[in-house]
Amino acid sequence: MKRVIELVRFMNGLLEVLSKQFSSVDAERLKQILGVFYFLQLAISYQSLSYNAQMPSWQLLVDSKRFFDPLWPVVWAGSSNYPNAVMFILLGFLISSVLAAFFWQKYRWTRILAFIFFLNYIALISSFGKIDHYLHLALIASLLLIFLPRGFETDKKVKNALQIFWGVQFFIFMTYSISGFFKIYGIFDQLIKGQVSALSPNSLALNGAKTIFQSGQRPLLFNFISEHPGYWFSILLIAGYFLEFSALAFAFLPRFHRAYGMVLMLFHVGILITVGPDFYYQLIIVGLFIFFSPFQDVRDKPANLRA
Amino acid sequence: MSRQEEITNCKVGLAILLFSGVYASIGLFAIVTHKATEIFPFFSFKLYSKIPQNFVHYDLILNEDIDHPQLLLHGNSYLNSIEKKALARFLRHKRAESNGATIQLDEVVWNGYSGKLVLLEGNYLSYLQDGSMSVIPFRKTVEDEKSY
Repeated sequence: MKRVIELVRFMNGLLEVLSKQFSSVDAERLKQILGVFYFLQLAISYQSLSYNAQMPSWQLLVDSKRFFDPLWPVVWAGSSNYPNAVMFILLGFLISSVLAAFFWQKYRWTRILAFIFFLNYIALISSFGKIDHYLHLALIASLLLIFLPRGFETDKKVKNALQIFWGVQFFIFMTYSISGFFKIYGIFDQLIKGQVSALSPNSLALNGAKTIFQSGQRPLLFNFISEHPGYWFSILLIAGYFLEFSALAFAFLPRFHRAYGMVLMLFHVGILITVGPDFYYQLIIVGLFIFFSPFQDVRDKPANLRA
Repeated sequence: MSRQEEITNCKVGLAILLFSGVYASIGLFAIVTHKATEIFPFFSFKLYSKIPQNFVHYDLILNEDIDHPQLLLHGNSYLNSIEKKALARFLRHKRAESNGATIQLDEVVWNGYSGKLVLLEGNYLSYLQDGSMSVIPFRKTVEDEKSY
């Protein structure tokens, strides 16, 4: 019974947050951000046809039929003419993204189509033995934005659109928090097992060394970090874990969205120059949805979240 | 806030929580059940959650020289990104097979390449400092298993 009451209280708090946030938000700003999102999807579809992107080139995809081990969204491609299926996905992704960039406000079916081809494209490039996660956030955002209302003519529609937008933000924050939780859990787990943990002065260097071993690419500051092991790097690493873990709280603190968005983007820059993994698209999604959050100017805090 | 607005908010709020909850639950399923396979398109929340210890990787050695090994996966810039992923998957399967003690994994053929399965063991930092790692021919038979 206690838990039910807690859940109801939480829901009331959520409703209050939503209502406070949505009453003073600029709808034009929201439209611009969503327009840029669909432009970003168009840019990704353009990159899928180029030879200079993080994802494999179209030629490589077409030539790699023998390694194709399809994930569920592209099982159909394995049983049809494979090169034609690849071309269909790539061109469908481009055309649907162009349509969504033009008509996302007016026609929901353009957003649905753009999501379906985006899903197919990511499934295609992940169907060769390893799933890459660098486009997952953009994909889930594309899914949730299907539920935007048609047009923004009335206050009710604007409010509905803001709720969906907040849903995307909530999802982004949630993924960071869960990821942060497992990293903090990992410290205790490795300590109990007597392994090298994040508390070791070499922890950051070991993370970077693993990336170099696998990819052969050396991060900008790796040499400095590996040559000067110290507890400062442990502190930095663990601060990063807590930064991720605390993300969900910021879903309910709109006036910190801009600041937290910048900190998260710098966090990704930090990862790139010390450990190596490239989260370019993740950085753009965080920038778009969190750093440029339309809720950042909201000053009112709901009563039940006030200290 | 009107009653109608409250109901609408509640529906959207619940939908957001429900979607996020289901997504997180499915993403966590593989972790909780210790399944190696990921479910697409769910995040692998455990990535980079632990500090890498000493490494043990599988590879194919293409020559007979353990001291100067020519490895198919590690350090091979001739393989493209898809070939590397596919080879890594192939080696993962071999590793899974080797958990059964009845197979012998001497000569392995992959995509026209023929080589012997080896284990690469070492410390990531030591390897980067001086290139040191052990290349151990992998031969696991029933007898080997018993001898452990």
